[in-house]
Amino acid sequence: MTAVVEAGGEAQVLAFEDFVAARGPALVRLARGLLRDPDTAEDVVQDVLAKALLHWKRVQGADDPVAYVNRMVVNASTSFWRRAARRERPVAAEDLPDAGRADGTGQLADRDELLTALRTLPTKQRTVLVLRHFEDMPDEQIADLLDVTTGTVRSNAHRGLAALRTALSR
Amino acid sequence: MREHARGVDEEDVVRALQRAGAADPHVDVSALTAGARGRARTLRRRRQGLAGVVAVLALAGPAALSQWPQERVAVQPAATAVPDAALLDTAAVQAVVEGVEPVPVSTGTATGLCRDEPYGGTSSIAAGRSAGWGSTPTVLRPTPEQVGLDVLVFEGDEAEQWFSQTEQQAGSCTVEAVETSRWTLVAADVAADVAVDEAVALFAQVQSGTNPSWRAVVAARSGQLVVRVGVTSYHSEPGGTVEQAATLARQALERASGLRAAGGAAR
Repeated sequence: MTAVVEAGGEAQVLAFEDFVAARGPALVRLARGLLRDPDTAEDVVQDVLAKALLHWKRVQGADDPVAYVNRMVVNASTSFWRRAARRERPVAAEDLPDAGRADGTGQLADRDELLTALRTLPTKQRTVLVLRHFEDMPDEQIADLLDVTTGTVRSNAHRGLAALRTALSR
Repeated sequence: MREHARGVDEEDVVRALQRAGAADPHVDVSALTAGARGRARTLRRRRQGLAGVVAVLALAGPAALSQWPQERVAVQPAATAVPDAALLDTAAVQAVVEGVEPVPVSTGTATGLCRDEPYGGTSSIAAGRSAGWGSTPTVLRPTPEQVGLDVLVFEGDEAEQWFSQTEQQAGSCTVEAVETSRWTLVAADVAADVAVDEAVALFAQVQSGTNPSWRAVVAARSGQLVVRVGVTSYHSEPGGTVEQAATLARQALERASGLRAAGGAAR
């Protein structure tokens, strides 16, 4: 990331390319966790990167450019989810496709089923779980990103995991 | 702590989440970069276009607003039974709202508080008279400051009915074309030397930003006499404009009442 932060002038173009090369897949993965739909996730990430490019100096000047863009993705995903929630009928957990049972080795069979179940969680619970387990982000950083207390992060994580466990046990 | 629930425990879920988080999302980085660059170009063009529109509006707005209709619509009937002396004079109005000058008043139908719309019982208005004042728009104050005054004298108990209907209208007031906010009903402080039977006031924001302007309308009734004063002026808070309207309404009520008591008006 240092190269990105220190880049300037013509080097900015390269810095942006480098940033996308280094962080693009992780951003899409993060958005997929938050949004579930792969096409939508790439769409949202492209929008975020376009906005980041327009203010690239601000991104470069941030204390942590990765966290800065992560926050943009979380905000964009939340906005997208809210807009979609007004258009879509929420899927009840009992209406989800039959999820795979635990296979005895502690592994759940299907990642898509996990993401489907994840999608049914309230936005904050889903966001906390994705940041915690997809991004391996500490609770303090999640709290800062979502502008909530660490207690709220932990309670959302606890409730989210419990709801996910129940959904996947059906 | 492991919690078991029909074969799936919390650690299974955590591991599954971690696996999903570590999975390769198969992203075409080149396409992602190209897409982001394309959208950035579109966004930049859109913003430049918007900036152009704003610049045109900034230049054309004051010019267009200088054509702002200054003529007021008068109450019906365009009665001559209310003499000039029953209305506030320009000096009295200028003492409250500086810089306004008399503007023409045309006949029409104007009642209500937030809307100028016909009043069903206009035949019961024994006398009515309207006057208006306005300032010249400037670049800093593109919306002219305005004062409108209506003096109405009703027959029988029609004044109470007018007030009742007007309050109902005020309760359903919505945005007018020139306002930028909904109307808000507030307490009308119209303590006058004459008995004020009832009064009502409401305001709306005309222009927001660093130089906000407001429109306030105050109506007050004393017996069968009703005055309605509308003021559009620049203040940081709506209270300033409401106070101007209330002050003018009180003065207008006192003036019209005095003349009426002396037998000069609306008889």
